[in-house]
Amino acid sequence: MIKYVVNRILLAILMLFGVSVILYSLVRVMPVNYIEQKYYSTHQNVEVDSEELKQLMLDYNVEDLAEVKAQGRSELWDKVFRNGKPATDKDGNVKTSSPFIAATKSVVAGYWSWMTKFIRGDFGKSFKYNRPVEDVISQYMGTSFAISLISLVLELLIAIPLGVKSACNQYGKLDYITTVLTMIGISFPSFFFGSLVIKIFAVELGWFPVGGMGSSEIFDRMWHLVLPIAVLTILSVGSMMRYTRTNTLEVLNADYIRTARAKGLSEHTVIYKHVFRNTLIPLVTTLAGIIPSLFGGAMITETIFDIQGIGNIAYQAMSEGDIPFIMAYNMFIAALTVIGILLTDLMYAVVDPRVKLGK
Amino acid sequence: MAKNTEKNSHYISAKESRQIAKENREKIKYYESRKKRKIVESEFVAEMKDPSNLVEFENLHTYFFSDAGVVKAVNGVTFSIPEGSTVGVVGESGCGKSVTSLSLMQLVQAPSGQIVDGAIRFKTHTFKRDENGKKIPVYETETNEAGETVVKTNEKGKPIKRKNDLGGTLFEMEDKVYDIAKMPTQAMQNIRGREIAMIFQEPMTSLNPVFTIGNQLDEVAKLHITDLPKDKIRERSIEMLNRVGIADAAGVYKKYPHELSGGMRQRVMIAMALICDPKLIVADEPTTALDVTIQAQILDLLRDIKEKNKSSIMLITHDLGVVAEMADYVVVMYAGKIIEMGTTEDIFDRPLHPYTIGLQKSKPTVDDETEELYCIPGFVPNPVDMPNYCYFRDRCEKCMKKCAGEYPELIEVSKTHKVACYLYENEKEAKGNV
Repeated sequence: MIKYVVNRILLAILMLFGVSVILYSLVRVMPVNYIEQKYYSTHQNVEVDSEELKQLMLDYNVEDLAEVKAQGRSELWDKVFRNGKPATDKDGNVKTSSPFIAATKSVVAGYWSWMTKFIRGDFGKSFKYNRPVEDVISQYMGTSFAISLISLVLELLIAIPLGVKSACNQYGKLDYITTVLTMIGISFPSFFFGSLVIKIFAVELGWFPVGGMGSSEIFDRMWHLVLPIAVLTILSVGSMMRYTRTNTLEVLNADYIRTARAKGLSEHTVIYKHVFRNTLIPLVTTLAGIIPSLFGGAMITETIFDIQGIGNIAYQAMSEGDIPFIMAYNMFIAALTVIGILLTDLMYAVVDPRVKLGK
Repeated sequence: MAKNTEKNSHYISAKESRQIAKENREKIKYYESRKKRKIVESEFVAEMKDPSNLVEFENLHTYFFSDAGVVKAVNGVTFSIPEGSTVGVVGESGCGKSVTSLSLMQLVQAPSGQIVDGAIRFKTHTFKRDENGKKIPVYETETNEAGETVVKTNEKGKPIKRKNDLGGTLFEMEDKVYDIAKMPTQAMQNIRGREIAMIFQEPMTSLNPVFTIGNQLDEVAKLHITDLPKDKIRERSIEMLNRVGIADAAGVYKKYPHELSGGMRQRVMIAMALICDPKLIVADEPTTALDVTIQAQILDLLRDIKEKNKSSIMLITHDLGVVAEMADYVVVMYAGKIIEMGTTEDIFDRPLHPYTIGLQKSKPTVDDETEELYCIPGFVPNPVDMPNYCYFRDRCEKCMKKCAGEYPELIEVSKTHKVACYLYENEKEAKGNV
């Protein structure tokens, strides 16, 4: 077992390495650019705040402030990122600390510089927050995790009993009703459903706030989180319920269920002991895979409801070109996914006596 | 159009399909609600035609309401299982023998499969119940100084319940005859596993993979023997495992099904069936999935148990060798109907129906000089929309003009031997004349 886990972790590291190569390449070809986004309007008027530009210089090693002012936006752009000469020290070495600046390094060299830092635990400094990325992620992760966890618990509480019930009454009234409702839930995109819910319950009826997190007072915060949690739950309940239903149906037709009935067990015992324990195998393992991803946040829902969670922050970083953050966040998600897969496989050995790991 | 449908009898138009689905839904709803209803016992109490019988099937019809139409899997089957005997039911695949046995257990695959008509009378030894439907325990009694019999009480003044041989509470029992075809599922659960136990065809998949053997065996005793202490339940399960010839019973008790071989699993299934000393063991092709050496062992085991417990066995198989070895009576089924029945000697020494004769001929033997095995020509007819003439007519070598007429009735050729074939009509008439 321990050998198996160690093996899997080594394999996971290899996987993460592959992911990082792909991610880095993608980030390098990303069309957005932090400085362009941030200074777009100011550059138009050639009115750049000196404090900010100092910071800019610090980040990107642009030496001549006056030059920036004089040349305006596109020139600056070329200087820093494309054709311009990067700032060098006296010996002619490139001084920049950022491995993402195109002009300063080739892709391979850039990746190497990023990776060596990453391995040493330096995940980079966010352009926007001017802080180490891990600080930013851990600051916003909690909110996202709380929201996702609550909605996951609600989802399970609704989906599993409903799935079992509708499988037991296959083609019955309950089955048809839940099927239709869950299909609606599955087919709604979250941005649409989220906006719809805001329109109805926040704008028209005014029962809930439109968005945001409210004050730090607990009831106010809960008040603000009702709609986003509801949206997350409703959208995810469908697939989980269908999954439970399909599994239950499959188990219900198994020979050993007939054996259980032939013993004289009541229908209740047959379903909640013999059927349910078998249905649980795929459910528990999927669940184990989901749990790590809860830390990753729900990007679209958080954005729509303007919740300061990790998903929303990542979305902003993506549109603003906060490249170190994007890189580290995506690596974080990749690591969570890998952990999820590992947990899934480990859970199989726990819930299914037939599965022995490492053999 | 009519011509067209006749040509492709399997083809169903969308309209017909909808019609079938609608009718099926209505019928299934009716039969399902019948099984769930709460009725008083007197509604399903019946009376045996012959008191020496344990089970009497009478005109049993079990249908499957499928999307292609109604499949009459069991279509008017009448036979009985005398107490303490083994009855073999034979026939080729899909002739309704398994469905007959499942009907007896009310385990036909619902909701599409339903017992539609007929009666299954079963002589049950069941709990006596008071007005509230509660079981009545038997109390320990003693004779007091005045010479009267009074109920013994413990220190707290509560009456002491008498224990049965196994250590559970003893209840007052009574003999009754139930009509299983009319029983609601709730009442049936009292009979399943306690009085009728079933051994299934597929030992590999018939045990729940996520529970230990011990857990699954214990369930039966826990369910049917009231107040049995935990260690006694375990003891009983291990005793049964020993009885079916499992060497390391205590070890197997802790194992999961996937850790055992097919033969071992079938033994576990038999052990499970024996826990409550059932009066009837239904063995649905118990040896089909096993290799020949294990087959013989399992059959010996079944015979042994039957003798020790004085129970009856309903043995379903397509293996004539197994029937010849085990059964006292044989029922031959074809396409949901009985075509011949009698004692084992009747069927094996004097087979009458062309189908039975064909079956005998298609059995491989060592000293047979012919090179190729005999094979009955043709196939079992499509179970949807059966014709109203002898179902075997199209495959029969001795087909006569009369066979085009109605389905032949069972003709009694001797006291024990009955056959459904026009070939023997004269014998009945001759008998009638005498």
